[in-house]
Amino acid sequence: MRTTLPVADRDHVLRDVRRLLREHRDPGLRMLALHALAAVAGLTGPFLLGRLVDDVVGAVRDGTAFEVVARRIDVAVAVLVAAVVAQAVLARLARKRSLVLAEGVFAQLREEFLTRATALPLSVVEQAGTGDLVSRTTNDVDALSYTVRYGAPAILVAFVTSVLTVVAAVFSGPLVALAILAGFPGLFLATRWYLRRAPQGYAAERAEWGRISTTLGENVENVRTVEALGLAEHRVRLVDDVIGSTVRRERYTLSLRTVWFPSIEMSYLVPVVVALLWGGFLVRHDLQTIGQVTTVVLYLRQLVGPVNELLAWWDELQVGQASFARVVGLSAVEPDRTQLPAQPESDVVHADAVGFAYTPGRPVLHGVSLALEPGERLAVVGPTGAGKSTLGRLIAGINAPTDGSVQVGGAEVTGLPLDELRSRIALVTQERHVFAASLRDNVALAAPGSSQEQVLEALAAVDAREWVLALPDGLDTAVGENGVPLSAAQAQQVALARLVLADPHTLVLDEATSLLDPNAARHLERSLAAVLEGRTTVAIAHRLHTAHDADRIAVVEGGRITELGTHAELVHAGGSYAHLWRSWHGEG
Amino acid sequence: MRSLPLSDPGTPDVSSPTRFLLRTAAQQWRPMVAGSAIGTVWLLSQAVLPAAIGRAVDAGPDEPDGQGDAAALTRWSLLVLALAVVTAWAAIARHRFGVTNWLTACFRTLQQVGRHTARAGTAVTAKLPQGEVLASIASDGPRLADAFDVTQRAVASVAAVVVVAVLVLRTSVPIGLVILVGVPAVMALLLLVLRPLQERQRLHRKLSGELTSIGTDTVRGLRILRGIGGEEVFLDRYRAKSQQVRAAGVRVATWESALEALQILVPGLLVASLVWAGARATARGDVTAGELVALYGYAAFLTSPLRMLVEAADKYVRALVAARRLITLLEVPASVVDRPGTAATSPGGTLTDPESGVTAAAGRLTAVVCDPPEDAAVLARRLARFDDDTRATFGGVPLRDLPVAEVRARVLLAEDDAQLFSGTIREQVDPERVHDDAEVLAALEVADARDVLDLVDGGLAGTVTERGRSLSGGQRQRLALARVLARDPEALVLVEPTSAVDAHTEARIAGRLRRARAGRTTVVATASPLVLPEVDDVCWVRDGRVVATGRHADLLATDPGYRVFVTRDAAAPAPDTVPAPRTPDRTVKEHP
Repeated sequence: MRTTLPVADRDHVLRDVRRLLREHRDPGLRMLALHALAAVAGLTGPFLLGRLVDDVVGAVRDGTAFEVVARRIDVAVAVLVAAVVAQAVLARLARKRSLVLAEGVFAQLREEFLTRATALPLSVVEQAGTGDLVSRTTNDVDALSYTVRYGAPAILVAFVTSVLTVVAAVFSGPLVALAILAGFPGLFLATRWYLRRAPQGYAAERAEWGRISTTLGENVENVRTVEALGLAEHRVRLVDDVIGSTVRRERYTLSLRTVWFPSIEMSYLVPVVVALLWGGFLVRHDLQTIGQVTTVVLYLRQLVGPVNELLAWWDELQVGQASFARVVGLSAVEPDRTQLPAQPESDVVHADAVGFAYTPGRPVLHGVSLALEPGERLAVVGPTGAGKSTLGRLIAGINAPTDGSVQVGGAEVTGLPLDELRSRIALVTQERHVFAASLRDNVALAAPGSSQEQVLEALAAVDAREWVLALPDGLDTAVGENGVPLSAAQAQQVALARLVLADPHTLVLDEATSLLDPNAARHLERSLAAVLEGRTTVAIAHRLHTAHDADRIAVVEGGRITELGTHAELVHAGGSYAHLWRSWHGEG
Repeated sequence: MRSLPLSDPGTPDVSSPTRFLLRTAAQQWRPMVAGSAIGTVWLLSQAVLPAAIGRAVDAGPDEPDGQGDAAALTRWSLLVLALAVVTAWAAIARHRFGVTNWLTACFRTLQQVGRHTARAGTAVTAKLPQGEVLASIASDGPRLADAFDVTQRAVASVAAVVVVAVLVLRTSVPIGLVILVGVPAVMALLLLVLRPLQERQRLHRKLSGELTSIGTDTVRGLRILRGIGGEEVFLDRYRAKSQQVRAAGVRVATWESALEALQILVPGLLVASLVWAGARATARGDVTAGELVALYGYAAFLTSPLRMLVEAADKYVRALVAARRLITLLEVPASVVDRPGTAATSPGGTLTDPESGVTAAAGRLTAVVCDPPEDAAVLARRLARFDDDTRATFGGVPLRDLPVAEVRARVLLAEDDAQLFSGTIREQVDPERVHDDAEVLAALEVADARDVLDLVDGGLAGTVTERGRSLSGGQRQRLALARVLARDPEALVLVEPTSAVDAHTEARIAGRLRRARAGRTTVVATASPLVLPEVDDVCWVRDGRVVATGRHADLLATDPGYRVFVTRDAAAPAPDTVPAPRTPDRTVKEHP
């Protein structure tokens, strides 16, 4: 019954990356240009130093007057200072621009994500559960933040800098620069070896860290159960166990790095040694100057930084890519309904030979027919898993039936535009989420423009006006997470007040009060009665008195309606309902 | 690292964040010292590399004929190679010590947190808000541990700066002094920028946290939003906050890029001044060309210890913040503790709450019906000693006089909120793995929860996601019931164990519960007319005091108040008449 939300495939990810690149091409190119200029400025040092060495060595050899040499030195150093200042200023601008751009791109990504999430088809929202979505909203968006804000710019910059450094080395001393090649085989082989193992290693490691966080979180969230069941020492062992397996994962990735790090470190240094020896040979044969050798050697040292950066972010980028695929994956969800032109001609809801299967071949409802009279209250009872909730969802237009049809006033319910459907039929579940917002916003969801009076009237209808006005800021009191906490019953009253404002003619109540303690449930039933007044109601009920109070009762067993009639009729009929009713009244 | 997890993480010093960090450092001083020593070797081998390269350049053929120079060049180049090998070895050794220190500090702290949160009981949640502090527990460990990794590099950086200064002093005293004075000055300058940067980062993190909350809140309530509307309102709110976060990020960028620029500018100017002085010295013939190259190398090298020192300062500040948060958690004392002189043990048997007058006779199934019903939870908590105000007795011995561990082992309270842990179905029922499959399945059977096995792949080994949030309320409740039944405690106190299940299932569970608990003391707080016929005794409690006791059927017949409360039907019909439908005038259509 649970569906997992889609994850974008490779093509989809590439398409989206290309789209982002296209949308931000101009500022992106400007930023890259600045970074490149900063990198060029940074390459001035070794170049000037090489020239200086040649100058000074030559001057000493030729016996040039100190003042002349000193002036040349002053000029060269002045250029160096100018280059440093230019590099600093350019780096500042480039860095600022790339951060600003990344903030913008990241903001766009997360807003697009939430836009898609809030437009998910009804049936997907009902079935997927919120867990996957919540983890995409938190973990994946966070992971992406790191990649977009730091990873992507760092890789670009490191790449540009590396390339420019190599180019500069080749330009300064083409023959000495051949020494760079000495580093490639080691770097390539070691990195290939590492990248073949690292992603899985780090993924496993991250999963264990997730378990640590879950385990510690549960210690706190479920503290009453830990205490009641005397699980303290078990939980201590569990935390230690999870830490133990995390350490094993950490040790594995450390062993990978123990091979990789020294290999790449040597790959950086071997070219330097080669450049010195090879450079010495070249100088002796007057093929390159000492200054050129110096410059190339210094460039080789300077290359370590960006190449390291490039390698370090490579791993990170894979994490980011996985998160990116999950964040943009939502757009692959297919719409669950097609709008039909038919308009409802009345408020009569009618199910005709309805069958439904979440998975093909495993139907949970078989040929159910039901006609609801406007204003009627129908109670649906039956054992768990009989298909009661599924029937409720079909009537509320959440899912389209696999066979048969569910219509309101002659129009297929899943063919109505969403706004139209909402204004006619609402599903109320045991879910009683209080949004972190003002109480007013919590009530006026369906009708954001409602006046103070309308909101208060709705609250009064569900018997909640008094406690709401007693809150510190009345309707403007912040409730939900980090706000004033509401009791379960109050939360449910808020949910009911929403319905009063939304004003649909038909309500499907799916065990709406079942998670409340009986006292709260009793109080709520009064509030509920006010909401139900004048509306057609399908109440999927746990409590028999709810059924007793209904106009008709449908007993659902094994995906079929097995008994349907008034309370009196069913008690008379002597079926399973009558049996339960008798035990309720102590006649079992 | 081999010793992790530590068999005993030790007691943290919660008197201040600094002391907390120092105590943790003291507990792992050996790897800290070793790591710092190797870190110093690592940086120094890089620091002297420019000198070796310089010598190699000098050995380079000033004199075109010099064969001896070629040998010198080879020698110095081999020294460069040797230094490279040392650097590579020290780098990985340092990294390994860094990881060891990081993991040790992190896991020591998390083990302390794990022990404390498990043992302090409800006190932690009673005292601290379930919000940011608790959410950050797991991330505070790593942040705190960062301080222990970076310390090695910080120590090594200071050592490297001093050694480089000394090396330069040997070439040129004024240039050496420039380094000795310049580096601390540069550090001070960089730290000046670090402070406003951290402030903006804090604000950015705070806003990001708020944004995540809005996002989470929106998707958690998505069923409601999609069901009755309001998506646009919440989307707009998210967008507005998202733009605030972006703006805060831009402010961070201003300072971050300023720090970046300073980290280029200041060492760059240092390089320029060294090159200037060095080149002039070379021109005068005081310094060789190789020494000039070395000077440049030293100055360029100094960038990296400087960056590490800035990083260390940044991480220390964050570690202190993390330590402060962890302390607020670790200093909460446990809510229920053994009283001094506790040694008694109870013969077991009858469970009594003198405050209300409720008595659960040994070996019998007793129901407590409370009006108002919320009194039931309070009463149940007294019966199981959930705080030390209780006067309840077990087998005549006050629970308060018994060791807490004994009370928990013998008297089990199952509240109605059915908290599950993430893990397999088996672990839900038998977290400590002390039962065999048959016992687990039997408990699931009694709680009528075997259908949950069909929802997951792998039966008992199937995983329940997100602490059971993937299950319905009724499924969670039945799993939690199976969990307490599997433990088969001497005395079991259940609060509304079937409030979230349908009537059919409730009736089934009631009968099975009775058989499963035969001969054991069981209290069930409920007002369900489907459970009450199955119990031996009913205590009818009004406003906190027992007003009647007896069998359910007798109380129904004799106590009208009880009857009305339980059946919720003021005009309850006599047992053998059929109740009239409420709205007999409504036409009823039959459908197959």
